[in-house]
Amino acid sequence: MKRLLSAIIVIIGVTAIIFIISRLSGDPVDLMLGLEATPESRAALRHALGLDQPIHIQYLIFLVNAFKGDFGVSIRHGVPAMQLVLERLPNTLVLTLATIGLAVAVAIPIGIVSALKHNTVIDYAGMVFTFVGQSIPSFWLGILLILLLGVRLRVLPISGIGTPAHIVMPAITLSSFMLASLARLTRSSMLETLNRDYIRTAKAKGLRYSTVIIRHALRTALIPVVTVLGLQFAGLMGGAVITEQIFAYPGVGWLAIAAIYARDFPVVQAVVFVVSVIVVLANLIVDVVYTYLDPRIRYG
Amino acid sequence: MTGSESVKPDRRSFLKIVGGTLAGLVIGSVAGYYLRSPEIREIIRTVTQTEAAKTITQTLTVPATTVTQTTTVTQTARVTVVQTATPAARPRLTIAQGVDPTTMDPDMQSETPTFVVLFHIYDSFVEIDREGKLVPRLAISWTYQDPRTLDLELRRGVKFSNGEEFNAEVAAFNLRRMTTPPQIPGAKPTVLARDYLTVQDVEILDNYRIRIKMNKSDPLLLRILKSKLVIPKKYVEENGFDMLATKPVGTGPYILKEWIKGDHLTLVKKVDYWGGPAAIDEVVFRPIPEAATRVAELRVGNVDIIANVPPDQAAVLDAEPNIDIRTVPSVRVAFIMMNTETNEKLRDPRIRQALNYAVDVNSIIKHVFQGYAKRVSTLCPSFFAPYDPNTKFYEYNPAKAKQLLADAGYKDGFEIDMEVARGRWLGAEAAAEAIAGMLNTVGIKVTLYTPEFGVWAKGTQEHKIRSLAYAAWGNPTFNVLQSLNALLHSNRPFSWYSNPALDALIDEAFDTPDPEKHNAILRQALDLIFEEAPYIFLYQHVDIYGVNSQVVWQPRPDELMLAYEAK
Repeated sequence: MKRLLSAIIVIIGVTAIIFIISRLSGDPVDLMLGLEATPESRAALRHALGLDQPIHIQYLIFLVNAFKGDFGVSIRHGVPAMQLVLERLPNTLVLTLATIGLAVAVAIPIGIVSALKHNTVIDYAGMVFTFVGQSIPSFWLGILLILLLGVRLRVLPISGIGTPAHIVMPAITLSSFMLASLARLTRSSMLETLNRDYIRTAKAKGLRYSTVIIRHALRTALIPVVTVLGLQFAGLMGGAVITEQIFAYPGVGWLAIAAIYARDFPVVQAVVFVVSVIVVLANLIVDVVYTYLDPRIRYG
Repeated sequence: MTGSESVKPDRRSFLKIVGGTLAGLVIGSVAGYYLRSPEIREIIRTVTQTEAAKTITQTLTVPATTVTQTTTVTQTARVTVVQTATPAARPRLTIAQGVDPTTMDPDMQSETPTFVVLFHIYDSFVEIDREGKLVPRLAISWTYQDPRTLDLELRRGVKFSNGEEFNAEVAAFNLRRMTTPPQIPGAKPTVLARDYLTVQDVEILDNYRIRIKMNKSDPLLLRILKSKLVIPKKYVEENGFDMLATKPVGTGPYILKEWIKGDHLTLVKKVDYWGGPAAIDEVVFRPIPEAATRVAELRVGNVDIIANVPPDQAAVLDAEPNIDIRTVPSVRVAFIMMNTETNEKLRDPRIRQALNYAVDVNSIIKHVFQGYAKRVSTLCPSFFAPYDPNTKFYEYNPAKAKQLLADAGYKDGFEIDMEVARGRWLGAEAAAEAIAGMLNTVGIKVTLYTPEFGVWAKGTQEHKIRSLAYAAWGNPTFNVLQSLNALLHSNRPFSWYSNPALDALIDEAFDTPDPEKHNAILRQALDLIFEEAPYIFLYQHVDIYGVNSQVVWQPRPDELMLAYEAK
C-alpha cells in the first residue's frame, strides 16, 4: 500500500517536472505559425489553446482533467493526445517483446557457455562479440542492415509496419546493445554461482552435468538478469527514438520526439504519463517477483 | 509473517501463473497486432468469406442453423464492410516524406508535408504556376474594384465528396473562418489566420460571386488564396470543425481512403472530379524520417517519389538505372540577418558590405550543397517577377572586405556573435560554420551558437536575436514584397533593420496593385538593399527529389508534390 502511494507520488512528480520544463523551452504557437506571423494572430491562438494562463493554473487544469482521464487535445493533430499514444503503444509493445525475446535467446546461451568455458577461446570470442554489440551505434547498425538485408539481398522490408518481417531489423538493431549487457551479466553471475558449495554438492551427488547447470546453477544465476530485464523492458516501452526513426517504425518514441520538437504539450504529457506508469509498474512487478524467486527477500 | 505466508500461493504456482499470463499477453498482443496488417486481413477475409458462403448455403439448405454458424455470418459481415474499401491492384504512386501529416483540417496547420497531402483532397481558390502566374481554380476570375476591394467569381458545378455544392455561401464561410477573430460563431482562431489579417468583411454578391473588403490595401491577398483550401460549410455545421481533422471532405481530385497514423495514408481518385479524373488511381503517402531509409526504399522500388534527397546522395541515386534525380529551385532563400538594433557596428553600411565581400558563397554552394543551391543577389528568388537576370553579386574579395573594415575604423577586426537554429534548414549548420571561418580570415572573430529551432523561434518572438543570425525564408506568395515587408521594414516583429527610404518603397508597393508599376517599385527596393547590404546575401535552396524513372512528374518550386500532375 505504501509502495503504491509512493508510486503515485512519483508519477505526479514526473508529470510536474515535464510540464514545467517543456513550457520553459518554447512555445507551440511560435512553431506552428512560423516566423512570418504577427503578434495579434499569435495572441489569439495562444488564448484559444489556453496557453495564456499562468503556468500553475495550467498545471492544475491538467491534473484535474488527467484524473478524469482527459489528457487534452494535441495542438498539432487536433485529436485527443492519449488516443495518439494508445494507437502507437501496441507497436512499441510488439517491438519491445521481440527485442527482449531475441536478446534473451542469444545472450543467455552465450553467457552460460562463456562461463562454463571460462578463460578459453570460446569465452573470449563470446565477450568480443558482446563488446562489439555494445559499442556499435544503433543508427549505424540500422543503416547497415537496411543496405545489406533490404537493398542488396532484398530479403526484408526496409521500413514501416504490417508483417512480422517488418519487426526483424528494428529488433536486431535494438537488441544489439541489450544483448551485450545481458550476456556479460549472465556470464559473471553464472561464474559466481558455479563456485558455490551447493553446486559442488550437486555434482558430488552424481547428478548429470546438464541437470546441475540448468536446474541448479542457472536458476540462481538468473536473478540479477531478471532485474535487468524488467528495467530494460520499461526503458524500451518508452520508445527507442533512433531505431524507430531509422526504420520509420510508428512507436511511442518517434511520437514523443516529434511532440517535443513541436512543443505539442498535451502529447508530451500523455507519453510521459504512460511511460512513467509503465516504469513504476515494471519496478513493482520486479520487486514482487523477487520475493518469490528468492524467498529470503521481504519488504516491510 | 508466517500467517501471511500461508495465505499466499506457493512460489512455484505463482511463477506458473505469472509466466502463463505473460505468455498469453505476448501471444495476444502479437496476434492483435498482425490482425491489423492488410495482408493478414486479406487472408482472413478470404477465409471468412468462404466460411460465410458455406454457412449461408447451410442456412439455406438446412433450416435449423446452430448458434456458431450465425456468429460466423455476423463476423464476416463486419470484416467484409472493412474490406469493400480495398479495391483490387491499380496503378498507384507512393510518395515518402519526412513526416506524417498532422491533421486533415487545412486551416489548422502550416507544414509543407501536410499541405502536400491536403492539396489532393481539397482545392484552393487560385493556383500559382511554375512561372509565378495566377491560374484559376475554384475562383475563375478576380477583379480589384479598388485597392481594398477584391471580387471573386466562382466556378460552377463543383461538388464536395459528400455531395455538398460549392457556391458563394461556402466561399464566404471559408474566408470568415480566417478573419481575426473568426466571424463564425464558435469557431476557434486558425493557424493560418496570420495571412488574412487584412480581411475585414466578406459579402455574397450572388450565388457565385463574393466581395472581399480589406482594412488596408493588400495586393498579396490574392496570392495567399493559393493556400486557402476550401472546406465544406454544411458538413462542418453538422459535425463541427473537429471532424475535419480526421474525416476530411473536399472538392479535390482525391478522397481519403485510409490513414494509419505514422505508417501510411492512402488516397483514391475521385472519378467525377471537376477538372477530369486523375491519371493515377491511388496515392500512398509514407512518413520516413531518416533520409538514408527514404533513399533505400526508393532504390528497392517500394516508393516512387522521395523529397529532400541529401545532396551528397544525389549523384549515387542518379547513377541507378531506374531512378532520376529531379531538381527545382525553391522559394526558400537563405541569408544572415544583421541585428542593427543591438550591434552599433552593423549600422555602418561599409561593415555590412565588408561582411558580404568576406563570404565565398560559391564555395559554400559547391562544398556544402554539392551544387544544389543557387546564388541570389538579394532576397529575391530567380523566378519572382522583379528578379533581374543581369543582377550583380558581391564577389568574394577578402582584401576589399579588410579595406572596408579599415575605412570604418576596425583595421584589426572585432568579435561578434552568430547563431544558427539546428534541425530546420538543409545544410544550415555546415554553411554557418563555413561562414564563421571565412569571417575569421578577415579578422572578424565569430562565436557561433547553435540553439534548437524551437528555442531560437521563441527568442525571435521576443524580438531577440544575436548580432548575426542564419535564417532561410520561404515565400509561398511568389511576390518578394512579402519578404521585404516582413524582414526589412522598420518596426516589424521580424526586422532588426530600419531605413525610411526602403519603408517608403515598400508602402508604395502595397498601394500599387498594377503589376507593372508594382514590380518597378520592387526592383528599386531590391537595388537599394543590394547597396545597403542589410544582410549577408547567400543563396536560394534547390529542392532535390528522387523519382522512379517511369513516373512522369516534374517538381514544383513551392515544394508541393501533386499526384494529379503525374502519370
